[in-house]
Amino acid sequence: MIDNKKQTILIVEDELPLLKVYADRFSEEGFLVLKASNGQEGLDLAIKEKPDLILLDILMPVMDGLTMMQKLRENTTWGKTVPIMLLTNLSADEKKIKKIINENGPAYYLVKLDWSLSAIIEKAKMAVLIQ
Amino acid sequence: MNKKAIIPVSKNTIFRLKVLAKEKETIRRKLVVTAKQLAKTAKEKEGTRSKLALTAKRLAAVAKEKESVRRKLVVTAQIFRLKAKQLAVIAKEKEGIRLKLVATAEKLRFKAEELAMAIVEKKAILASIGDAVMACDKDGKVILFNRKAVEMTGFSAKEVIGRHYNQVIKFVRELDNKPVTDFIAEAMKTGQKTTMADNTLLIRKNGSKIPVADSAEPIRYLTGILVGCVIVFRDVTQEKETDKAKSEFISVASHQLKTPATIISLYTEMLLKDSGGIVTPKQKEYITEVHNANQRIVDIINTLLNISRIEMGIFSMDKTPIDIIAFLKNGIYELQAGSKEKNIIFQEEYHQQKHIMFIDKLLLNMVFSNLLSNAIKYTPVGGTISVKSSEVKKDEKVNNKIIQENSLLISISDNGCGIHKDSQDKIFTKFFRSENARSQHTDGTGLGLYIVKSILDHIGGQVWFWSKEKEGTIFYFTIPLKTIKKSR
Repeated sequence: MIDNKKQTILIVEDELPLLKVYADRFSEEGFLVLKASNGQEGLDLAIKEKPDLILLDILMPVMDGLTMMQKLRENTTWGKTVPIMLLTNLSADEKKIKKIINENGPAYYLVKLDWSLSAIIEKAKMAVLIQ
Repeated sequence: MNKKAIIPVSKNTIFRLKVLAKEKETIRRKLVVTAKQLAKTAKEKEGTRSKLALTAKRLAAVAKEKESVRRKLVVTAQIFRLKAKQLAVIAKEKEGIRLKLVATAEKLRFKAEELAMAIVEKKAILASIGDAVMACDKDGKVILFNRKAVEMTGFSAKEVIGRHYNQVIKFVRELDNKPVTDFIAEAMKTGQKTTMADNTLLIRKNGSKIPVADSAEPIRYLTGILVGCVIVFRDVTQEKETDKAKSEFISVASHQLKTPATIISLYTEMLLKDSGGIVTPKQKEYITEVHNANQRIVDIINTLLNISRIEMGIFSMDKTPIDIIAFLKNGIYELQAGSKEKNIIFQEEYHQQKHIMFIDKLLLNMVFSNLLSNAIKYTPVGGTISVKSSEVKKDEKVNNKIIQENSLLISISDNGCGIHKDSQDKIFTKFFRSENARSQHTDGTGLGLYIVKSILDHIGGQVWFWSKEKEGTIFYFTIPLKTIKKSR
């Protein structure tokens, strides 16, 4: 990274053990971590803090990840370009999800079970770099 | 005389002399006549004698002939006697045969009674059987149509019997309402039992459709000549519903399992990276076991989800152009790398360098890697596995299977333990694991081949195999060369 400023990541995940392990791992890697446990919380925090990257679960109470992403892209200029990594274990409706993700780039689709922490970190660093 | 001359001759005497002379003359004349008559008689007698001689001669000839005839008759009589003897023997034999025939007739009567009983029994069984039964002769004409078949199809026996089954009984695929492959014709052509593909619908007389499952079994005389075919089919509406509920349950359950499996996976990863402080090598060993076991759970979850997706018909197809040959090579390379310790020899034989097809790579990978990893699993150390590709034409026969469409054929053969005969017709059944597979590899789910079959059914391909215990197995599958059907 060119500047010394810590990269900020917002992790939105309703499953607390997952939220914790992602947060711990990203902290270890030198990220500044913001945490939210549903889409609405995530949206508020994102608008307020403007993180460099968002790690976003899809299936959540109050507001799901796809809605949060769409709102972010629609309502704020900053929100239009922030890279979002969507994490899910959903396997049905894959086509529909992929379509929404494609329309809301820069966004990436990751199946939780298939991605190790190291792989997610690598992907996150790439996403921020490309930005 | 002199004396007479001397003696004077009286008138009387002269007269008397004259009378005497006259008498003498008369006598002489009479004598002449008599002589003549005698001569005539003699002549006649001579004639008679010669006639008699002739007759005698003739009689002699006749006698001779008669003798000859008599001799012939003697010979003939002898021949007749012989013949009579022979006839007596033949008559005796004939009597024997007749007795045997009587006995046979008796047996036949008995058999006929038995048969009549059997027919009655058969009719009773057919009438009361829960499945629809239809039988046709070798030309495909329906000769039997039981009560359940009438009930299920809506056609009366009268409407069906005597007609070609194809004219009346129609089966279509649930997927696209297209006619299914004629599994009845296939059974008769190959002489082997066939089952219809999953998700087959029967079109009833009133046009409505019901899901059915069935099989066709060719019938042969003891001599091997094909006589016809018996088709058994049943309504699987109920089963389908149960199956659907089951699939949905599996789908939901698997989804629920995904999150805890993810948590275990990620936390063991953290521990292995010493994220919460230094972990001893021994502890890492233990954690690795947890991590690997969890990975197995993940694999099972994914398999179950794939199945429920296939069954619920929500398998999305993402067709892209793929070089099948490169794909096969890569698949072999990857699995070979994971089975180095078995020292298996891989042979590859491709029909061309490159073959581009439009197909969902993920689905194709599930088919190929399932078949290939099975081959590796059940092949002993140092065994041989060969993968071959070729193009096949519609109606071509490959190892007793009739190709339905012009296709790409891929075969995977091994010289492993083979599939037990009793298991062979069940291996594509969900959760089925053969006895020898179970004893050798305890970790299988019995879902791999079911997935393979489901996917190929889905894309219009075929899958079948040849296998002999202790010799090995060859799996074949085809991908239609024409564009692969789109899923809903």
